Amino acid sequence: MTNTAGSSPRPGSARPGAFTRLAADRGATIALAALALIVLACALAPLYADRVSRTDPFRSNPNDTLLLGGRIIEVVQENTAGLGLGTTPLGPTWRGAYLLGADAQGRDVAARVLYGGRNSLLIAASATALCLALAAVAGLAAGFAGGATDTVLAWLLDLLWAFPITLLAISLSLVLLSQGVRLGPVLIESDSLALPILILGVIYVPYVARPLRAQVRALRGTEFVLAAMSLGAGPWRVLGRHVLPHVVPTLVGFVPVIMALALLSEAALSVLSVGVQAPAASWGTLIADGQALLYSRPLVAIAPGLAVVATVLALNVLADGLRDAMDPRG
Amino acid sequence: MRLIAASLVAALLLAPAAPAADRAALMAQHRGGVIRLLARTAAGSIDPQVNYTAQFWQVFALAYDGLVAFRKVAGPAGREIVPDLADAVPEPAEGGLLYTFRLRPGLRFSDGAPVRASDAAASFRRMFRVLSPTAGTLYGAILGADECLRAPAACRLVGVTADDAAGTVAIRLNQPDPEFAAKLALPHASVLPASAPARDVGAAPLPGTGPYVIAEYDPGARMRLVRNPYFREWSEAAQPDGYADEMLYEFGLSDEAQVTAVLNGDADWMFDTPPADRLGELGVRYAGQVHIDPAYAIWFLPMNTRLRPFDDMRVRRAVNMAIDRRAAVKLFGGPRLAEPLCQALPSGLPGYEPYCPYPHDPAAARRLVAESGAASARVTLVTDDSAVQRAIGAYVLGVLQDLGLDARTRALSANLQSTYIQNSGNAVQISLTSWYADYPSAANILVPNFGCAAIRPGSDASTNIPGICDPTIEAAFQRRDWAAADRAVTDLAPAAVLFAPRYVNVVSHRVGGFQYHDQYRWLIAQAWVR
Amino acid sequence: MALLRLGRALAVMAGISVLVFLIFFATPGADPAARIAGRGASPETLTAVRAEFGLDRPLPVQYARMMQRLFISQDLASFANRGQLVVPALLRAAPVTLSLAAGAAVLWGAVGLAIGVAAALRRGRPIDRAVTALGLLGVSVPVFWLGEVVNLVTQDRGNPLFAWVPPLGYVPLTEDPARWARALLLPWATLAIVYAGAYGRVLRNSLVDALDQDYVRTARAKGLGEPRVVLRHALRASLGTAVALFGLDFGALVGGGTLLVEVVFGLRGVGKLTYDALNNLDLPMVMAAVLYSSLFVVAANAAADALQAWLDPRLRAG
Repeated sequence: MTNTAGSSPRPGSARPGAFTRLAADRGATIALAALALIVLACALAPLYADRVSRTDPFRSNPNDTLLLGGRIIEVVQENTAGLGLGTTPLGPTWRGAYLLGADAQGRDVAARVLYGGRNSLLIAASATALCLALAAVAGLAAGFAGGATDTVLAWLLDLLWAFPITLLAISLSLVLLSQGVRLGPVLIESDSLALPILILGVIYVPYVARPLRAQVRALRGTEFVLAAMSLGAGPWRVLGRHVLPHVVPTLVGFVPVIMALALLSEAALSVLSVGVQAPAASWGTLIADGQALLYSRPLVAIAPGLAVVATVLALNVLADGLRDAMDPRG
Repeated sequence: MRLIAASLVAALLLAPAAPAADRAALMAQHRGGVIRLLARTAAGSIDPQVNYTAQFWQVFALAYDGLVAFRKVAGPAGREIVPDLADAVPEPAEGGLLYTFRLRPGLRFSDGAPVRASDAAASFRRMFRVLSPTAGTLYGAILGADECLRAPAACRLVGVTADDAAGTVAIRLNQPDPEFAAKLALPHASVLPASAPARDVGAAPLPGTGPYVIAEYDPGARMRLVRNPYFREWSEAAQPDGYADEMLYEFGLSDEAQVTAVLNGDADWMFDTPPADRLGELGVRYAGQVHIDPAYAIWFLPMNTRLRPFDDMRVRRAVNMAIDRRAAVKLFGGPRLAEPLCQALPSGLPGYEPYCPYPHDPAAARRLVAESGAASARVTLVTDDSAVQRAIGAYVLGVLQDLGLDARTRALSANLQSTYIQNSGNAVQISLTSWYADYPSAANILVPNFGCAAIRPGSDASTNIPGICDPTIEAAFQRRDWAAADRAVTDLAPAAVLFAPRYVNVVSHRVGGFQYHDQYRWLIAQAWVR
Repeated sequence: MALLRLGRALAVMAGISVLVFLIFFATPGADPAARIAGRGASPETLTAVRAEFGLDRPLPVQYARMMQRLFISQDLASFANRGQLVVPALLRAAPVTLSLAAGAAVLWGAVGLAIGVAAALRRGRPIDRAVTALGLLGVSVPVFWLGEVVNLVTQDRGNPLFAWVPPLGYVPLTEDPARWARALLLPWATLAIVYAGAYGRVLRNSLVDALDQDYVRTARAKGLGEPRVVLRHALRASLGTAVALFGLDFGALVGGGTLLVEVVFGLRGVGKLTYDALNNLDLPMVMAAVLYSSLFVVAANAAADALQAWLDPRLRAG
């Protein structure tokens, strides 16, 4: 992943080079621009909902009507043909309000995809931050301290890794959903975004912490660290001066990777009814809701799905670029 | 217009059963083949005295019999209680306290053993010994039931006696029960061999008396029913012989995949309700394969009368007035699939009289909430995580917020939600749930949901979710005046009833002779696939 | 070394089982008594059911009994479907998951190998870039969503193009190999799309690395053609990373990582079993499924580590 063995004691000097290389990578630049565009669009969700669509994307309004092409139509229409079973929501209008049509509740799909993106991105970004922070602590502690700390941490990481991710998420969320969880003085409510963040932040810790631990162990054995320690430098000083600078690029490289994984897992968990609670939305819950309309209005599930694919693809391209930029041999 | 179309469909289904000669001809023409049934999941134990699900009760009607049965024909005639293993439905003697049945001669179980009066008596004892869920609620009137409920293992049930020589079974009650005969027609009162183990047999089938036997059952995959070699038709009304040679019930497909399989002819019927987005297609392209029938059920929002803010009747009434039941019906699949309802009894049940004191009036509802001082109270609505419940939950959430309440929703796994909301320990304020009657009866809807006896604090099985216990309601129960009880419940508003759903049955193009029964649902044995 | 590994794996699985057990009993509404007993059961009935299932005993006793019934007497029964023994249920479901994972693995292995080699041979050309793009796209698609879309298109009998697609579900290999393959083809393809591109890229990168090595240069200097150089010399050396990765992914899939694909395609494998058990909070089944799946993950981890150590002796000290 990164060049560890025998690196120079001052790796900081390599970073400007990495940035230049990243900027020169056309794929990565495009991905970055695409990400910025997606974030911007989601940030401007209220603009679309209030000014263009003029509907409340969080209120269920199956009896609403809409003026379209000079006619007043119901947003969710009762079927009248044949036996007259079921209802059909408005399809895509491809202009202004209800750009992508309505969902079963008569809500504007486009507005919900934009608002859902806010939650999905927020969850993925926060989960990534949490994951990397936890992984850094675990990886550094296990790799640097060694001994019993290492054994216990390694066991915990193994346990977390072998505990099937979907099961862990479902179990956690069931406990949390029905009563919230109390962490010291902080009560996490069942309907807060903190829950999916917590779940997604925890499950990928081993993914980052294990390579990190290996890297730190390797660094600890290098001559310059041994030399620094034999010269009487305290462990914190060694960590700060000689280990951390090598570890930070590794962590940075993981940012888009974990964020992409978190986005995908958020979607998968929502299908299992674990995650953001109604009426709030995320791309995952939108896909889950859209499944109920897959045959009559496939776009309701396909639009948020494509949003996930586009975002994750951009993140993966960026991750690729970052990896190449930080490892000049590649 | 729609109403006319609906009654036309109903009229078609009410067509009388074929006369005997026709039936013999049909039997000669269509006998044989395999009917393939689908459901999302299996429904647990196949012990007919333990299982309490609509899904398997339908199957038990094929394999087991009680002393009496509902007449197995479509329409209102199907409410009639007819003799099944017994040779007649007796008039209760001694002021409604003593029922004496005589078994038909020559009956055999599917293992070849004769059916004796002592088997029937043992089956009643077994009901208590295996902890049948309705032992107390439905059969508690039998003399000696109290001791059996307290100490199931030692249950003697003094009220039930058998005389094998005369072939008679006598059942003595400690108080008259006008619906007792109907209760004897339910699967929990099935007659099983006296040798049946005194525990839930789980996945191992017990011998029965019906035209089919469960030959194989794997809850993770399938159930197979084949013909019972010892079955000889003794009463066409109670237990007619079936057309198909075999029934294969497969579990595990999603609703969406089930509809696709039925429409493609890969299966013949699905137990689950078809998903909402396929209904339009079903109604247009497959209209001839779709059957819509009454369910005798209500979907409603129980409000906990013992917790703020719903301890104030004004708030409960406000919810009733603020809800647009048409919107709820729309989310359920449109007006053909459900009928808006604001009282506790659905139409078609004895005792039903139309009554709706809650016109849709959001402004008045807001005023009521403001008056009560409950505005901005925090309220959590608990739904299950099915698509329909989530959709209706999202709608109700908006209604509650418009009332000025600080509302939120929580969706729990469908299998947990129904017990979670019953337990007063979980302090659920308002939830979304449904009640499907065990048999078409007003009592079976009103008493378990709004009767004092159904309140069990701290228990997961406390069906009176609002926790309402009111003397007016109880007095109407005592008089068996169901219309009055219904009005009293509606006035007190312990719940906001949304609608009465209808069943949608989709069958493959191969299926002929579809008949829908109020109690047994689709009479699978009376349909053919060739 | 091997004993140490085994000890660690056992410790991990013990930890997992305790964790599952505690989570279950910490979940409000998890008490299965009312669900076992049925709607409106009397309090006496609930008490009796709890006693029958041993739910009234202290937690450590319940845990010990559950482990004993799961591993030693193997008669642990489900809470949701009384009488359903969990071990046989799991063993019946395992071939489905195994078929799904194995077929998909063959497919993505073959495709990954082909496009990886092709890309390495045509470095910097359009095909190389296409492989990179495909790999990135594949890992960016939510697999269950892809499955839904595949079903949407292919389950429509009106479309003559997909008339060959059988109804959703599984056909045992022993019953009819042709129908087995036909029923699984689309699930295999769906899973393989996610992995094939990624493996192609991994292989391409290590091939490119290997092609710069001295022994390959020597082979080339001897006048061997480029395809032969790649296939004969470079490929063998560069399979290591891909094989180690393969072990991990395959282990995770066989262990139940196919959960959502099984649900979407109506396959009654371990994943579907787990999914149903979780929906029912059916502790015995959840416990069995989790331990089964963690067994595969732990084993795959160990196998991958051992393989890498064997391939690269420098790692053995660690």
